[in-house]
Amino acid sequence: MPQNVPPLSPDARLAIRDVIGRWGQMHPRRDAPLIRLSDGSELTPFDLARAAHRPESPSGRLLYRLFAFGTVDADLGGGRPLEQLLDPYRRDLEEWSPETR
Amino acid sequence: MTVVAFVRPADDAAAAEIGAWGDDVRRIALAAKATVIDRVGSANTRRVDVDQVLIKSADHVLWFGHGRDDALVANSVPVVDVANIGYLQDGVLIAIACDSANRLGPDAVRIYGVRTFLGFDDHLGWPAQAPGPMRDAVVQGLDCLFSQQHDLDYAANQLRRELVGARLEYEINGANYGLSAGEATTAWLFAKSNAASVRMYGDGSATLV
Repeated sequence: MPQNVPPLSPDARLAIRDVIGRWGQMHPRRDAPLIRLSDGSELTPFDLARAAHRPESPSGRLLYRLFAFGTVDADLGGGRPLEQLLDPYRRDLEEWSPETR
Repeated sequence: MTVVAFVRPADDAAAAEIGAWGDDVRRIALAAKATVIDRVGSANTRRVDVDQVLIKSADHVLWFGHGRDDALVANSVPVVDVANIGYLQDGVLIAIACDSANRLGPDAVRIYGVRTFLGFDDHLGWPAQAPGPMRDAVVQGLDCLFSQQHDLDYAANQLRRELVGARLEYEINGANYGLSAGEATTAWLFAKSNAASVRMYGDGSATLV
């Protein structure tokens, strides 16, 4: 994806930090590989949570760039509003919360 | 007779997984009666092995493994870089790997005489639990090079289209792969990024067979 995607607003970055930070920590398999990368590295849900809180780290830059690009209506298929991208993570959090178990 | 070399180092779990995608493409190539060399595993994909392939054997190379901006790497060691890519003069290099479209690809074409490069200019990522749609996208994206004898320009667009299809598959059917809603969205984000990271340099009219 482009290195220079349109920047996220401060509110958007806060929302990502909050939702992904909680999602990665609450994930029932938070230390299991979630994403494999062809540079040989892996990202676990907990790595994403850490990345959400460390936006200047390599993983943090990737995470925020992914979400920023996710909102872009690129040539090959549309983007999604940030809230629509974050809702599935919120649904997971509801499902994993002790009250709904 | 055109010779196509598949290089699949499989030097760790992720590279082994991509290497298996490469094996699917290799089978398609064989079915299309292409002449194929297969170098698989760390012991057969050292720099000296790949130099021999580039110098003596292959007209075109398909790499399935790890990459970085300036090299294709195995066991963290550069195996294809500007020091040996010139051996592939007038050939095609396809790199299913991270990042190598940033420097290696354009340099190979503009400076070292490689006819065409197709690869990615960013991380290539896929969900560990559900690699199938991303694998299918890569395999079907490259399929047409052999089964239809399409050119690289067509294949690059086909690869992008297939990765967009993978994105939709994760969005619509993520639960069928055992992904939670958030996991499926994470896969969606990577598939969208992967599709936008496909880059081709050089002569798009080149064909492999």
